[in-house]
Amino acid sequence: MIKIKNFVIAVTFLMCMATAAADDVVTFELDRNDGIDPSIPAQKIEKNIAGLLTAINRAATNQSPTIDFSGIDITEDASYSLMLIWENVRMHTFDDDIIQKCMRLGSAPNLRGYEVQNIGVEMMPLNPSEYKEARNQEITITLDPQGRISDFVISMGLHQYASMMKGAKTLEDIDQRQQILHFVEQFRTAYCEKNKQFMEDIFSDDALIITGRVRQRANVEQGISTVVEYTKQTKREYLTRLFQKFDTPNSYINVKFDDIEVERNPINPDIYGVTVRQEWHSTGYSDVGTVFLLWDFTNKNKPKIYVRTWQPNEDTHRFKTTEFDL
Amino acid sequence: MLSKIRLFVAFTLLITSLAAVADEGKSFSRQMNEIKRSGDYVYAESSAPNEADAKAACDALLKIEITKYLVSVDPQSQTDGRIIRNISEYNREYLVQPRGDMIRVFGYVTKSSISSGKKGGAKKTAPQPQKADEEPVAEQEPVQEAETVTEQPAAEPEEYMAPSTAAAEAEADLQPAEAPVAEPEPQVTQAPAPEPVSQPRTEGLKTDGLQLARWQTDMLENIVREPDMPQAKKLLNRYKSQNRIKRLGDRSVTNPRPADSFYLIYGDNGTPAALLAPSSTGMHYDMLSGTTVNLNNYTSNQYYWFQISQ
Repeated sequence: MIKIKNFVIAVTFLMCMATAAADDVVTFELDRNDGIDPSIPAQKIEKNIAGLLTAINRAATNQSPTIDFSGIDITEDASYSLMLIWENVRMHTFDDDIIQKCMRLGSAPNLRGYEVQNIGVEMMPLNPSEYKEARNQEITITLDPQGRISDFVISMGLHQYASMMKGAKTLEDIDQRQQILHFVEQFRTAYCEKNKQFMEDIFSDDALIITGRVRQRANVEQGISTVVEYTKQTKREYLTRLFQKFDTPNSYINVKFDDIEVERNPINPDIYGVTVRQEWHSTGYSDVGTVFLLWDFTNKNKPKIYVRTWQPNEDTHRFKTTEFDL
Repeated sequence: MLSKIRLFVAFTLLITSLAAVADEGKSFSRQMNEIKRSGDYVYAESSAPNEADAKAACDALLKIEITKYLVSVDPQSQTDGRIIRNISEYNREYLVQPRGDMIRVFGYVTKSSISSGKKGGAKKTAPQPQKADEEPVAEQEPVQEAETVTEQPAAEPEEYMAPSTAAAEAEADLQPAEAPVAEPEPQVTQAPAPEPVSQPRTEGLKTDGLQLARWQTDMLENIVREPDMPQAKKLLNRYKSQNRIKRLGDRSVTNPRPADSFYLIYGDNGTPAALLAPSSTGMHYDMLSGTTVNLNNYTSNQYYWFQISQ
């Protein structure tokens, strides 16, 4: 009787393990129904994304501290970005058979690559009590023009994405907003990765930057009160201070954007205002506020930020592109 | 002993219920992927903390996708690509799945109901939500179409470079989306031509015995609806730029695979006289008259030939 029971348990266990192993394998397919330009390296994109998602799932199932990237064409930067995330949180795709559309970034002859967005993953933090984010997240994978994985980010949710697209009136506007979203994500990531070159490139030389700092002051009459101090800075002043933070040993910067709103300038269609709710966490300092970015997309492949402002969330005034002399 | 048996039964039940939950998720994914692969639907997907928000976001994305589809099948339909305003004019269906602390919503609309202009009607029966142990049910044999897509990817570059026609086709491939294909040259040797159809056909293509996805039929209807050769050229080039059409040429360009090609034949009055589809018999089938015909009957006509993506 005991032998039979042990046998049944062993078979059940093996079946569970086999099912888990099979669930790790992801097949990925680009949606071809709307046609795919022959210049897109579709098969390579599919192979790389399927390989990466499978590797992630296997590492998560095996509780491995590393991801096996063998057989996957991925840049060092992208694998490094992923491993930075992996140090704190593991993830596993919800689906094992995925079909997604492929978005082109830029256009020939200045094609920057491709993006596959919103692949659903379940986050599995190593320290659940400290993890404050949602367990269901979506990832975006960026590929270079040759189909090599060049970036990996936790993206905003689809409902936020839809919200951002709501104000668009034409398909061209939609396309522009998608490109903006890509750059906004890159901009956010540049803080987290302390990417100085990106910051140098993205800000216009004559950019207007207003930063804020929340301080708590104590006095005898009123007790502790919160005071916001604003500072108007040039690009050079802002970047000098920012790079000092970047260079501080053992420091970290973690920036989150959500509640993204986009406004197109009614006069100049290449000027966009982007308002985001920003959470700033860095060594020794954290705040939450509203950041307004005024982007110039005249050169679609090298957009510039003319204005960056920060306000506490309590300040209900929201900047518009029309408030600035362009 | 009894408690051990109970423990074992409880464990087995737990495993079974976990498997059932997993199957439910897979059922959602399977239905969603069937819809995506079928090519018959315009779709969008969203997730949010509650169903209402997820559906609202899904609808916002569907508006974009419907507009893209309208522009792709009829560039004139949405001036300047203006996003449609009222999503409620379209018959949407949804798949809803709780996923952790979020609700995932997949919304879809049949392409036929969009392109026919009957926004509120002509709805195709979509795959219905089903129990985990049921096989998926969908019209138009989506599984078969999915297999076709997998076996014959649309974007195979080598498909464009058959040796006998490499030069001519390379030229055609380099054209921008709106560029015309080479203008057909007058043919000296004339053979008796079939009686031309006097008016451009706009609907009612005969598809008996043909295995065409809805989007393929829609595309062929749009092509044959164009009143003359220059207009048809533009549309064919557009479809080629979208990779819906793999190869394209006119009478001046040798077709390496005539048995696999569609032929849009023009009569003397410059309007479509026949739309020949390849058939399993090796003969061609005229989708305008519904008859099987010999391609050699049309050697004196002006025509475009093209192969469509699977």
